[in-house]
This record gives sequence, C-alpha cells and structure tokens, in this order.
Amino acid sequence: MGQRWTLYQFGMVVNDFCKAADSDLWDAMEARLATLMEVGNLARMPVSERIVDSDGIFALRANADNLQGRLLYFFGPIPGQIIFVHAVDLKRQRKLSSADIRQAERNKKLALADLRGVHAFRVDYTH
Amino acid sequence: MPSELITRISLGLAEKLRSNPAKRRKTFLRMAQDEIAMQLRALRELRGFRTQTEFAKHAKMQQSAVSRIENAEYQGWTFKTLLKVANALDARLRITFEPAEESLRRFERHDVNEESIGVYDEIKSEAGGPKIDADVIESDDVQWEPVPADRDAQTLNPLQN
Repeated sequence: MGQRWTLYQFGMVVNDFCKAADSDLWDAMEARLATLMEVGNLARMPVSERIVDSDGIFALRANADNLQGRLLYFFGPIPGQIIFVHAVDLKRQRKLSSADIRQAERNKKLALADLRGVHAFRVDYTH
Repeated sequence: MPSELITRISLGLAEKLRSNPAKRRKTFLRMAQDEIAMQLRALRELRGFRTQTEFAKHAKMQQSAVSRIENAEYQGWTFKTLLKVANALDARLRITFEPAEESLRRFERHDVNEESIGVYDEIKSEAGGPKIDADVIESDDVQWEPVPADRDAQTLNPLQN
C-alpha cells in the first residue's frame, strides 16, 4: 500500500483557478489533480515540473487547446500533504514568470507559518 | 482547531465519475496518458538518455515517435510500440485493468464528506461559494486529518450506469 496523498490549498487559489479557467482547461486540470492524488511525489514531467531555482515549488501542468494552467504546490510537513499555493493561467506567455514563482514561495512561507501558528494556539489552548 | 489559511481540497471526483460515464472514461483516459508519459520519460532519464534523440537512436526509432509517446496528450500507442520501448529501456511492460469501482473507491477516500461532493461543479456554475472544509488539528504534533472515514461498505457499480 503506497503513500496516500491529500490535497490542500492556501487561501482559495484552486477555487479561484477553477472559477476563472476555461471549462476544458479545468477538466484537464481536474484529471491532473486526480493523477497527483494517486502518484504524489512520483509525479514527473509532463504532469508535474519541479521549478528550478525555487524553494521546493512544483507546478502541476494542464493544457487545453492553446491554454495552459499551472497550479504551484509544495509538499507539506506531514507526509502525504500537498499544498497548492498559487495558480497561473498562461493564456499568452509560455513560461511561468519569476514573479509567479516568488509569489508561490511567499505563500508557502505564509502557509507554513499558519500551520505553526495553529499548532502553537492549540498547545496553549489545551494546556 | 481549523487552519484559517489552508483548507482541504475535495474534488468530489468519485460522485462525478460514478454518475457520468462519459466523464469517467475521459478522466481514466487522461490518467492513463499521464501515467504512460510520466513513466517513459522518467525511465528514459533513469537509463541515462538525456534527450529523446539519444534514446531514439538507441531504440532505433524516430525522435518524433519518442516525442509522441512522451506527450501526455497522445493516445495512439500500440502494444507493439510500448513493448519495443520497454525492451529498449530494459523494462517489464505491465498492463493493469482496474475495475472502475476500485478507482472510484480510492477517489472517495479523498473526498472530505458528502457535503463537499461536487463542490467544484458548484463553483464552476457559480451556484454556490467555496465550500471546502477546513482541516482539524488533532494533536500537539500538528496532526491533520489526512484519512477520512473509509466507505468500503458502499458498493459502486458504475459500469451499469
């Protein structure tokens, strides 16, 4: 029995992507999310791409016609956690911009801080 | 205590795929395409072929043919081609036919609860706002709630739909 993978999102990044995306693009991305849930850290190109020169950020890729979607994620502190931190709809540009990658890194930091904050609050509350 | 910023994603895939055979077939096809493309590329690189051209030469294939089978949108493989590639990669070709209900049961375990099913359809139709459940920290070790209750008892028979 392999590792089970569970998907999370920072804020509403995946919801917002879902709302804004073309239907065909979302269908393709939904199938990619299903693949990611099954294979987790074994996901490779062309499904998932490790972003070079980033702080452990990966991009889940999906295409439909000439549209491209990228959901940026990292592996959370608990085994099996995949946390999406940014989403990009690449209508014209072919590559992720460094600004998007930095945004994902910032959100990752906030997500990790939030997890620690919740943890600290819980400890105080229960003791 | 739920996290305020991080919520669990539930695609409600099990219900959607169970009730919609066409979507089920399309999603399963896409996942098969993904798995073949990912495995071939990963194994090619593992075997030291950094480029498709290098591997094509080794496998006595056209580079364009290698490119095609590593493309996750491609679906024109034949058993003969996959076997040829597997042999060139010194790999065993394994074919698995998984009953749909087994896949759906696994997807179901990913869904948070009944209320979350179909949430992304609702978002798409703008009929409802985001209803993704927050997680619960259950212990001092920051234990999220990674494993929803199993619903193995539920019998699915999507092939009759």
